[in-house]
Amino acid sequence: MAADIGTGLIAIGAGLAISATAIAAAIAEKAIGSATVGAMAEKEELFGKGLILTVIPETIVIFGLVIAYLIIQMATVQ
Amino acid sequence: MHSKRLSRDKMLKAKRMQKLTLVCSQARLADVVRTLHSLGAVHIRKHKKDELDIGEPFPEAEQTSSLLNRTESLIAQLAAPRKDYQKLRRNLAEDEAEVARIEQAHQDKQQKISLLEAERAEIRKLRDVLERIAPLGLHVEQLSGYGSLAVFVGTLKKELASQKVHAITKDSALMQKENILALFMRKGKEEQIAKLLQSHGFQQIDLSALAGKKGSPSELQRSAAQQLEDVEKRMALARKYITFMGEKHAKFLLSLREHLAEALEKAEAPLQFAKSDFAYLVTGFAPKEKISLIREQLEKATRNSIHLMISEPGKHDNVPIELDNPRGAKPFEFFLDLYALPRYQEIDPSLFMALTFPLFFGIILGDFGYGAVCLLLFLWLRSRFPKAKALMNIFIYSSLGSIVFGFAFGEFFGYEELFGYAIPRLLSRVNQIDLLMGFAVAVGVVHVNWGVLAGFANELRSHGFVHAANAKLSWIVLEAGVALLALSLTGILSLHWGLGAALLALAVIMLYKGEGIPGLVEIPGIFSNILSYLRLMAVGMASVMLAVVVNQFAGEFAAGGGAMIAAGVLVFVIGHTINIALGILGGGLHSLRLEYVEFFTKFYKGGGERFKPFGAKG
Repeated sequence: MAADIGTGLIAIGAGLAISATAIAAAIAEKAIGSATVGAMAEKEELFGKGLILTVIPETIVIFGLVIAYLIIQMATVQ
Repeated sequence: MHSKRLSRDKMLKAKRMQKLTLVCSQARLADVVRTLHSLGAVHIRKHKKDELDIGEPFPEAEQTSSLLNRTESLIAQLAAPRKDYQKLRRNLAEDEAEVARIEQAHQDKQQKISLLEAERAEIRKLRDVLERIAPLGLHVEQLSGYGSLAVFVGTLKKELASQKVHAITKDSALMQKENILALFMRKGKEEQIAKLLQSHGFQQIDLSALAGKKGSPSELQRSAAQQLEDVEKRMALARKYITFMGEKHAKFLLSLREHLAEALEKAEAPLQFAKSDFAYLVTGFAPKEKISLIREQLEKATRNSIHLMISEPGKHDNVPIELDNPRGAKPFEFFLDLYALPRYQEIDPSLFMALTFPLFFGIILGDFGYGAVCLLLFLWLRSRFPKAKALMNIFIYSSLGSIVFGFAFGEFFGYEELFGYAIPRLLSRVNQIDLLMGFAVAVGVVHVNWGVLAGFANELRSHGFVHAANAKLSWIVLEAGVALLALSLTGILSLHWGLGAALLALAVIMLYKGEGIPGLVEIPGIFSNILSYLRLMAVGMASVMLAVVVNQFAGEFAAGGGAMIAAGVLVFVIGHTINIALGILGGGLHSLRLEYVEFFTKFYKGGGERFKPFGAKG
């Protein structure tokens, strides 16, 4: 992979893809997570449901990861 | 009856229970309660008041309960130490008398302590006053009790010139030392003097503590100190006596408490039964293998005068759950306690977790050296904290998994080669990341579909084949459809893309029929779940990279020679300790999350109630 501006931009693109999705998922899970812990403080049985609800936004990150991977593939194919 | 452990009905499920329904008369109730309690094998289903009332407790319940309270409070107040004791059969009246005696003795001592505390406060007050007036050098009886003189004793902020006093009244004597003032004057002009004193920031000292005392301040201070010592000694003695009481009566009080707690449980048992005008109705569940014993004992105790009905639990009965796993999988029941117990008809996933949790942990931590350290650590922790045995056993199995994968990945404390020889391995985590990613996704595909199949088995049992196939098998068809479509479109498989598309369409239809719109919305979810297993690679890589970096640092330090070698070793130890701690934490959490979120959501409902038999110990 030659190190020119094109490669650099592709790398930035991949980085943006993963970081933006990660921040989005983090913000979402932060809100859900704190609500879960609050609910658990009153009712321990809610741990299971709470955990599952908290990790629902992971899907967003996975999509970001897939896009980042595809973008990197673009660089190697070139 | 010869029951095979591997029979379809028993494997992978909670212990099989039978439902008991018992009817007895008031006269037989005490025998029934006593027998059930001694058996400790029946989980009583609490009766909720409908057409039938709930029963009333036995008459001795109130007395037992109050005596139990008094015993508990004595144990707390005397701080009775934990001791081994034997259970004694005692007489309620005798026990109450003994408890009353102990309470009285305790009360007496407490009162004594209060009186001593009051005395001490007084002596302290006296001591303070003496300290303050000591600089004046006057005897205490000189400071009060005059018929014709007024006395002012106190502290001043500004020094008072005696002329000012004499200006107001000639018959006066003034003593000032440090900032203490004693002013004696003929009665008559107190108000003017008071004003003068106020302008100098005068604050009167309260001399009431000196009432009736004679002598110089230093004498009195000495005697006060003596008295104080004496009071403190007596207080310490009283407190010691209370501790001694605690030790002396510990055995009695503790065994009494246990006896009373049990008696109260039995006395209040009828509150869980249903009651009609002349009979009581008890509903409960018990393990199948204990049923014949229960029937035998109940009939013997009540001389066959009760009606006992044993039946299979109904579909809508909330049967209590006692997990029943082979010894290897038993520690993993801890994870179910954390999350939710399975329902009676569901599959118990402990065995599955026993197989996959150490696998995931091993893939993440995958280092022979780290695994060995963890193994030793958890073996030691298990001996130190026998209470956390289940959790420690889980981590011991997981450490073994780490060691196995350490061999597979060929890593030893982050080193890929030792003494110049490359460690033999199946896969290099540092160099073959793509292969590792593929492996992680493969694990994901297998695990998620395993969950789907378990869900299929659960649905089959509860809702029949058609619904089960539509709700669960559709996912597998979906994955197959997408895979075929992708493979045929990219030309890897020479099949028409229509085949993949057809499977996909079939899957969507089946899913819609099985779960409706919410099911369709979940479609991206399953691919996200499979890709989630990439964390096995990701967290593992983080651990490996950190180890490699630590090794490089340590190597650079050690290359300095001499004292730097010690620094290198220090960096090595600290760095790898932190990495192991992160690995245990991260590895454990991520593996657990994969189980709970990606695996359980495919088949597990949970919500079972724990089996708590009436009369069981602990």
